[in-house]
Amino acid sequence: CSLQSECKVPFIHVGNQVVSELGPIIQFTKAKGHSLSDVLDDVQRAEMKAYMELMNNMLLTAELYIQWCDETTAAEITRPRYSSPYPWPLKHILAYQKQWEVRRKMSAVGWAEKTLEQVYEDVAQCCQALSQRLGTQMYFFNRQPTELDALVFGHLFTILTTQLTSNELSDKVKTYSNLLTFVHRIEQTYFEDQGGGLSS
Amino acid sequence: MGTVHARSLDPLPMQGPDLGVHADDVEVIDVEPETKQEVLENKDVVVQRVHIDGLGRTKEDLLGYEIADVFTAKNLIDVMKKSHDAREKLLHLGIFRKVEVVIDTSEGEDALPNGLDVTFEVTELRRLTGSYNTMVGNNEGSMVLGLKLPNILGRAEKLTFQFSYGTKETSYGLSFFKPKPGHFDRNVSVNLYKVTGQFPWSSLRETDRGISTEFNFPIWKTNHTLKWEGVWRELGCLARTASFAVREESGHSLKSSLSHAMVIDTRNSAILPKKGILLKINQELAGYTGGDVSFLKEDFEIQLNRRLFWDSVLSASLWGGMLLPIGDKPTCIADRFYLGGPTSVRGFSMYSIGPQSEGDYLGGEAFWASGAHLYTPLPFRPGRGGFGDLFRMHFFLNAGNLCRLDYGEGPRSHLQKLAECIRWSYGAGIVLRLGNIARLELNYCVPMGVQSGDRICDGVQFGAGIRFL
Repeated sequence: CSLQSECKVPFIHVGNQVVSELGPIIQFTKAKGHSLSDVLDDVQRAEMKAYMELMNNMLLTAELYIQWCDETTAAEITRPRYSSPYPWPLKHILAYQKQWEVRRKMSAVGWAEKTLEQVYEDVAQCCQALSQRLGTQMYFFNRQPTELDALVFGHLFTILTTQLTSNELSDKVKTYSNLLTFVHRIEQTYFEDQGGGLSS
Repeated sequence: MGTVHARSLDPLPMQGPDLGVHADDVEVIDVEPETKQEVLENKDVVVQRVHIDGLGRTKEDLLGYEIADVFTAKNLIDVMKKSHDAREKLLHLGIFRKVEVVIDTSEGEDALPNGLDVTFEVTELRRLTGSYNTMVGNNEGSMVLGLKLPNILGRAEKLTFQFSYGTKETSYGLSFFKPKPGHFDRNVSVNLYKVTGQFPWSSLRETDRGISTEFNFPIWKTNHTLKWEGVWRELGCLARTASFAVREESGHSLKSSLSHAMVIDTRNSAILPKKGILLKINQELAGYTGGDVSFLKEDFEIQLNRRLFWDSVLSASLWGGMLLPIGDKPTCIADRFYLGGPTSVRGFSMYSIGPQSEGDYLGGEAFWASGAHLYTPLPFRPGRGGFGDLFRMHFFLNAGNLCRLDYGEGPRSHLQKLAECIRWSYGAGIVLRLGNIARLELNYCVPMGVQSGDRICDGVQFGAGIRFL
């Protein structure tokens, strides 16, 4: 994100305020009187939080691992993509700096020793948990979308639409047909006028 | 015999009792014709040899240029003068701690009767000198470690390293300097640095990491600098409340620029000059040698000083500049000009004139500023000839303007913009000279022509600066 070095996506710009990342944005809209999880009871809300943590701890870390720690993906896709806005030699400096940062984070959370297969296994487990929770419902909690739906959609949609060196990651998601339908439904309901997107 | 001689010199002694004393004095003079000194004073001499004693790592060929003039001296006075000049030149190289000159008659087999030997006794600077400072300012404390290796390769080259570790930022600079032997003013330097600047008037933080190479050379009465600089700039916001216009500028950019500067300076002092002129012209072309920042930047500075009655000095200055982006990208906030503050257009807050967004000043692409000052000594001149000479009173009139350029409109409307809504101010104050590098000012200012969005400092304003209008 070019807006500020500490600032991360997603962000919203309201008046003269910039709020970045999902958590603060949820807090911000809640403070303004809008919340998607108001209809939930305490147990459901706790459950929602747990699943969101699962997303952040497992899926997000796995995505980072595959992008930056798998050398083939990093060299062919991630580094060129990350460095595309910058001129030589800054592009190389910034890309390697970012890679080093991510790898340091991986060793901090104990993922540095994992192999790619183990990471794919973690993704599969995560998807299975989500798939079981979703079942045949429209959204994770009955008929109303919540913050969890937004987060899951964001991650799965990105995984499904991003071309990597191998399709293994998106194939893991595609094995769960109810998750696929879920992503399609949200895309059609909320983003269909945007064009492009997921082609089955 | 001595007394006889004395009488002949002084046949009518004024005071009887002193006569004997006089006689003794004259006796000493009387011996002189026997020494060579009197002979040499008026006649031609030849400088046969010049020695330099005390050289360690300094290469002798470097010093040949500095002392060559001594050989051309034709009489003793000339020898002394040229030796003195050579001593000054040697000290100017910055490689000797001490230089002493000894002039003696030549000795040895080939010694001419009117031959002289000049010996420079030099003490070289140490191989490594260091300094350690602590600095406090801008809500930040830092310690500065400096290392200097003078004369590192034996031909007046210099390597300096400065490292500053602060509570908020660290910065460093490494610089290598090499003069051309015999022409100290022609030199090359290479710098490697990281500096961090905080600009609260723009809520902006800038970290620069860069490398630069520069050539300095004089042409006639002017000094020129040619420079290439490649700098990786990282812009960020100082606070979360920074305006969106400043946030949009955040991120990384790479500037590679060629610049040329020309300076003519005939002033007698840089800080409180009494006479002389200063003309500075800067031009910078970025983007043709790489990087993602492209612009052409021109700016100039003129200062004229004239001494009036009673030690007062009238000083007039004019600044101006323009920044033209090349290509489609707009100019970057870090490249634009800023105006206002206690050493430019007084009566306005630091860099707080012109385009702004939610209180963050964005700078302009064209500006001009001018000032007229009358400097006088302090009333009743306390501390005259000493401490009081560091102070001056001044009365000033400053004016200036700054604007962004909308490139569709053409040059006429740009000039019109700069001529409209002129910010100006007048006032009086006291100036304190700090060495020959900086000055402090305490002024009472009355800002006029204030436009909406400008931040003013009506009344007493304090400031320090090395560059001033």
